[in-house]
Amino acid sequence: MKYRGIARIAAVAGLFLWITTTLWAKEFKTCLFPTVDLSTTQENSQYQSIISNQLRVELTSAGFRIIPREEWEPVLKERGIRVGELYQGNTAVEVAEQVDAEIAVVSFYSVEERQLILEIKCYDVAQNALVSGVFKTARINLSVYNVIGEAVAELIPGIRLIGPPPNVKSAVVEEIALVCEDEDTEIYLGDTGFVGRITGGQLLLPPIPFAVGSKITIEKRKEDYHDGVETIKLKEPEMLIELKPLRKKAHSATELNWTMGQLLGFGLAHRFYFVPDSSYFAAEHYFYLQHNLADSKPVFHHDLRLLLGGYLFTGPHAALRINLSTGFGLIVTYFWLRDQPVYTDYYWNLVNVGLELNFNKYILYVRSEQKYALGIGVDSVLGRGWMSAFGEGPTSFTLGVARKW
Amino acid sequence: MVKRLLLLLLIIVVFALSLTTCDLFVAVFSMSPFPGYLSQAVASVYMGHDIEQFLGENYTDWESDVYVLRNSTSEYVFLVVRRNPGGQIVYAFDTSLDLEVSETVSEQNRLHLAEADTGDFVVGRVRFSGDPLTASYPYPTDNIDAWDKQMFAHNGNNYIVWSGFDGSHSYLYADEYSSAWGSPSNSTTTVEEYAERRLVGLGYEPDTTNFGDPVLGAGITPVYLFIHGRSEDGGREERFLHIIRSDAGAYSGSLVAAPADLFTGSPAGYVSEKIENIDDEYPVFYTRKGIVAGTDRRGTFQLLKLNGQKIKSFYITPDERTPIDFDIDGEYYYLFDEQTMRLYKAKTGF
Repeated sequence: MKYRGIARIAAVAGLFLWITTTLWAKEFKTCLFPTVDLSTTQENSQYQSIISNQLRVELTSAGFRIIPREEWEPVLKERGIRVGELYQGNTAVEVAEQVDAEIAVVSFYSVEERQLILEIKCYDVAQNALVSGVFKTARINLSVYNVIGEAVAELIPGIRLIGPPPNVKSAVVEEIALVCEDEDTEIYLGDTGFVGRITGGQLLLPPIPFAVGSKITIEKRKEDYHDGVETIKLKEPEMLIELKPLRKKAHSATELNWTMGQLLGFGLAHRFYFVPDSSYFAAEHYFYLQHNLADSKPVFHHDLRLLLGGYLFTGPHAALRINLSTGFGLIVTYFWLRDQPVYTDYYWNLVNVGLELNFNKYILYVRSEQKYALGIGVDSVLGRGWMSAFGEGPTSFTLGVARKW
Repeated sequence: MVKRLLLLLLIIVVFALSLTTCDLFVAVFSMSPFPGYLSQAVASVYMGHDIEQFLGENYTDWESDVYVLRNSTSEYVFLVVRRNPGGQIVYAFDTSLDLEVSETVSEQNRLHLAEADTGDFVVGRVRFSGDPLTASYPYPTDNIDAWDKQMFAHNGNNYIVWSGFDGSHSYLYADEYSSAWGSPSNSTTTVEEYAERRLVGLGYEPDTTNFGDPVLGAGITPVYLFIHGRSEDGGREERFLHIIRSDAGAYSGSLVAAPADLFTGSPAGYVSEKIENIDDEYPVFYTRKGIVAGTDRRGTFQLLKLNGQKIKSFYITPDERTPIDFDIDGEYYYLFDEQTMRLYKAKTGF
């Protein structure tokens, strides 16, 4: 437990070491300008050389390559800049830039009533930005030398180069072409709105300065199709984007199904979607024989039902959908055996829960069904109670396929 | 091309036919939310009008039972409808389900057997005799308690056998009546200690030449006692069945001494192996094709060998208490559907 903090400290120290060594390993060309005395009197001018020398020694030992005064002094003359003005950041950076320096260091102080106020600043020349600075005050006595040393020591680790600004010209996507198999699809871009229509299988977007690496949201609309939305990351200046096809709205679907407990037969159903691919009415007819595959005589059942159904959680584009439906039905039963009555059993189809694999034109599903025989009417063979081929649990399971129209 | 198609068709037909011999395939394909007897029925008769007439408007609480009884010459089907409170009606049908005769009885009684010596059928204090059947009531004179009891006739005596559990011991009781149904000789024997065992069926084979018993030997009339048991197995209630074979001769004199010995496995081979997953609310039936017992899968029955091994499963009805009985040959069963008020005769398929 007592060593828990050591790893963190070691990591920070390591990072610090890496930064400083990396920085130091690179010899930054540095313009170190003379320290400026801003005091109202000249009596403390001796500190100019002390501070300048201290800075020179520390920067040099830290790996900074100091540009000789002979190189930048002509620039001062050329521009009419006095040395005393070099405490101003802009002026210093302007001069440093002329001699291809990467870093400009300015320092100045003032002494008022035996109080030294010292400020040292370091600029990233390319960015014209302050990257490090220290501010110190001290009484004029022997301790002032310590304060100067501390200020210089604090300055150097804070130096960071921001580097040159990105090349804005190369970061913009110049051309975006969309390819889509749905002809006449209208394309909308997030904030821009309508940008065009797919013609001949493609659309070239108008020039919009999207940054490379940014994302755009494309909305696709077409009459009698479900809207589609895709988010695309723009990785290159020229993009060819293949859009996914839209889903056609299904207004109806025809089902063929097969139910446990009614295996010697099949069902046909038709869904009428009043909200395309979402909510529907369905009518179903399941015909099956009851037979023990031995010496029995068949019994015929016609299961007719009306259902109201819909989907939970997912939209028409989802590959897997959960379907719920409920309704009422009746089963007409008659016999091969002579002199038997025709029975009619009404039931409440309490709930059907289906798991559907959703393809463009087809649906494959498995469905659990719960039916409760109502036992109403005079010719009921089932009476009142849950209908089940399994004894307990769901009434039955149905496998089916549906063709969407 | 046509030849190939015909060959393919032939293979499919042969394959499909072979599948019909597979129990699992048949079980899956014959599953239905509708009762299995609908497709196994060979005849049915509607009894709604008669029963409603008997019940009248004041009786909504009623129940029924079906008994198939055989004497040395004939087999009949009896439907008993009991109303609560009081009274019952007994209908007698031939095996084509033609109604022969019916008789209304003022009390409720569950006596049902082909009587010793006379071969007459005694069902719920009604005596059916002759051909065609005629009914007479009351018979016997004393109202013999036959509630939840089993009965058979042998060697000039009528026997009523039942079980009981007093909390520590299970007992088998027997009353032996002479053919005149006078005062019985009583007998009691312990079946097992510290366990509840219940007699749920009794099969009697009157013709040993027709169905010999390899254990008891020729010339001995076997009786089959079907005893359910319950036990706790790791906190889970276990229900099971034993088929016990006995000699009807053991019921003379020292009544029911044999079954107790048999149940403990002495002599070996007289007690079947433990038959599990049994519906202990359902009676067990004796047929010459095997023993029929209801399983705990609702509506499904098993045909069992005498040693308890399963021969086959078959589905009859999802109703938990449908009155049903099997003929002694195991060819047909008779079932009364209280929902449709129809008495069905259906093929067992054994």
